[in-house]
Amino acid sequence: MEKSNRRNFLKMAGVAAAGLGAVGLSQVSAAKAAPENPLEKYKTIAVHARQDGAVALVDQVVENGVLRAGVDLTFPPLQFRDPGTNEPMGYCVDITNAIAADLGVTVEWVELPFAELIPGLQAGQFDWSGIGLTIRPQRAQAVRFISEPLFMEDSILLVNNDFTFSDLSELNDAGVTFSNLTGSAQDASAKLQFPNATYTTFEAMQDSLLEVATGRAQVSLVALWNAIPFIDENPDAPVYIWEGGSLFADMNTIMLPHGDEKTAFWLENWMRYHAAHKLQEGLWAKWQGENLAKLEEYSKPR
Amino acid sequence: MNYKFQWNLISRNWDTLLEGLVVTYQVAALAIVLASILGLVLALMRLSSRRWLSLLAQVYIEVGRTLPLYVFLLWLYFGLAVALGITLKSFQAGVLALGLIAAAYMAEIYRAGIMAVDRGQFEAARALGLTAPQIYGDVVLPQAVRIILPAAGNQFVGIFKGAAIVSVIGVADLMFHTRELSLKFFRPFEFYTTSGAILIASTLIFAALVAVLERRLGWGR
Amino acid sequence: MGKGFQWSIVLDSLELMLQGAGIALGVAMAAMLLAVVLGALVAALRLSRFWFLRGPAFVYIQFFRGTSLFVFILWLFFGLTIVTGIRLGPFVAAVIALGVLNSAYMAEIYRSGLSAVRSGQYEAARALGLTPWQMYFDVIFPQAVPVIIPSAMNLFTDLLKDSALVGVIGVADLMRVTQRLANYHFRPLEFYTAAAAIYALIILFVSRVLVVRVERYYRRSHARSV
Repeated sequence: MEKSNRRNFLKMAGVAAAGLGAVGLSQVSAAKAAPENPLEKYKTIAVHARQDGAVALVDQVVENGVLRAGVDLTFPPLQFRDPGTNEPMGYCVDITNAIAADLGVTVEWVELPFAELIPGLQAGQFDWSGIGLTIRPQRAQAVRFISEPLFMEDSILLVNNDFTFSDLSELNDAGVTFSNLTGSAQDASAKLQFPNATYTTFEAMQDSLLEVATGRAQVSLVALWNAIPFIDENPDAPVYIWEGGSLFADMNTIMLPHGDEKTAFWLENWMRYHAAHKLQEGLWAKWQGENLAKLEEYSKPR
Repeated sequence: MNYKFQWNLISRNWDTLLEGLVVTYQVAALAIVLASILGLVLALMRLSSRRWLSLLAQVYIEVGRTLPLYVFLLWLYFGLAVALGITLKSFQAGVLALGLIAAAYMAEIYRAGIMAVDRGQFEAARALGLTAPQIYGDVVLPQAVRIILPAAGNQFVGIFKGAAIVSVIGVADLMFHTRELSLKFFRPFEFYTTSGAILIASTLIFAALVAVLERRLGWGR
Repeated sequence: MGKGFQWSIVLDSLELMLQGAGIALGVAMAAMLLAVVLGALVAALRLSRFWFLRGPAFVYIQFFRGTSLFVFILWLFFGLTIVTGIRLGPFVAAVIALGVLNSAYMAEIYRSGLSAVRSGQYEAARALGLTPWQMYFDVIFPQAVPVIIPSAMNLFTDLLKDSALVGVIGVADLMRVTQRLANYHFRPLEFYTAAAAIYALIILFVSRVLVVRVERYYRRSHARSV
């Protein structure tokens, strides 16, 4: 490096070092000064997606003629792209299409990675979600979930064959490693129920379950409808579902911005009406079929 | 723009981020050591008069320089585990992937440095009756270092940049925690910007240290 | 596990993987184009007479040379898009990230290419009364280009290797397809080996075949002009 360049470069690096040091020191003192109120950690601020909060989303959608639905289309069979035609398919896709049909509008699929759906909604990138999310309290501070379920999600433990335990409390130990999906409701729930265990998370659902299959992790807390396809497709994987079955069944449903009473009510109303007319039931049977019944079969070590 | 910034989240989670940064540094440091040592071995193999040693090194170097780091990382962590039952810990896999690939580049750097030393030096040393280790250790390498150091420094910076990737296999480094925190608080911008700034500052400082070291060893002469 | 290797599964899925490779190549080439154009602009600023143009260009170059693609692409796709509300698709975001990052390297390549031209050329051109435009385009650049091209091709090879990452933001590239297939069939070793082989073929093709052809072309045309 020539002399003048080197001098400039060193100057830059010096500034960077000074900056880093200053920020580091300030953060350390700020962290020490702030009182540790445990609830503070979860405080997030809800944001209205549209500036003109006076006009309900459901009316704006009808006026625009298009519903912008936030989705992550990588979770068969509830929401995914058909491998052949690349068309959005699945239970949630069908429901969203039905909602749009009743409103007389077309659907624009706003595809975001699952983890970005909530920030995306807060930033106004779509109207409401085209898929269901688990109604976690922390999420509910940021977004509004409607009160009618899109579907109920059972969470089970996928366990490596070499690992057996008789009581759930045995999992609450640093020697037990959980492998979960990054940012999933299951990951958050596991950390609450088994705080002493060791955790590793992966971006891809398959990777997190693969980790259990390799034995590096003993167990994964995962949605039943994700675990069954994994076992179906990997018959040789040395894993089984804990015979205790579902630990809990979370409600998964549509999310929209806070403060929009009319749209929330309209969606709840729509869901209740169509539930009475067996729409959800029929679609669920169409997409899940007998899949979830395999729980019993897969609960024995294989 | 409807994004409500919340920078105070950064100060509240600073210790987690720092923990992650330490892990990133550890991965990079170990990978640098691995690459430096293995690279030297490979370079000497490549320059050896024994045909098979040289060929072996050549193959390794070729493969190492064509293989994308991301592919190798996943292959090491998932591929070996499922097919051969070799379950490396994520930290080990990260260091190995970084180090083994960088070793190929380091080998070429060492080789260029050694070959740049005047042939006459070799002959003079041999004429003086120095043994091979003495020739390399006392005559060739010290002169080669002048050429090797800047390129090696660059390579080390490259390794540090590469260390940011290992979070994809679950290493609890800075990017891993950044991801988890941005998901927990729904604030990707604040966390990604902060971590990016920290990493860039680290890289710049590291590169500056290398530049200072170069000047100290008289490279500018 | 330990049930023997099944390479036939890989062969069956080869078409899907090659489609992914096509997309990866698309990203790489578009990014390279962006890097070449943007890098030229930055290089021009870097060599400007005015310090307020030179300074920012210098900072730009040092900044992006010290940034890891992984960090930058995540920041761009997850951070910036949410804040600005500009919805970048994964492909576009990948091209921008790769292109901007490598424009810094291209700027340096341009700079060393130009400085490789002997300073006597500048003086001779001026003495001959050539306008700055003529000087640059007829005298300087033709001599700088044979120096720039090999470095640029090297950069392209590095860019190709780096582009393996873009799957993390959802681009349906070779690695993403491979991951999906590897997980679906529970055969990561076979599939990742195949992906590595495909990358190797592409990279070797670029670095051995293309580079040689391009160098031969420049040696021929260069010899002609001299």
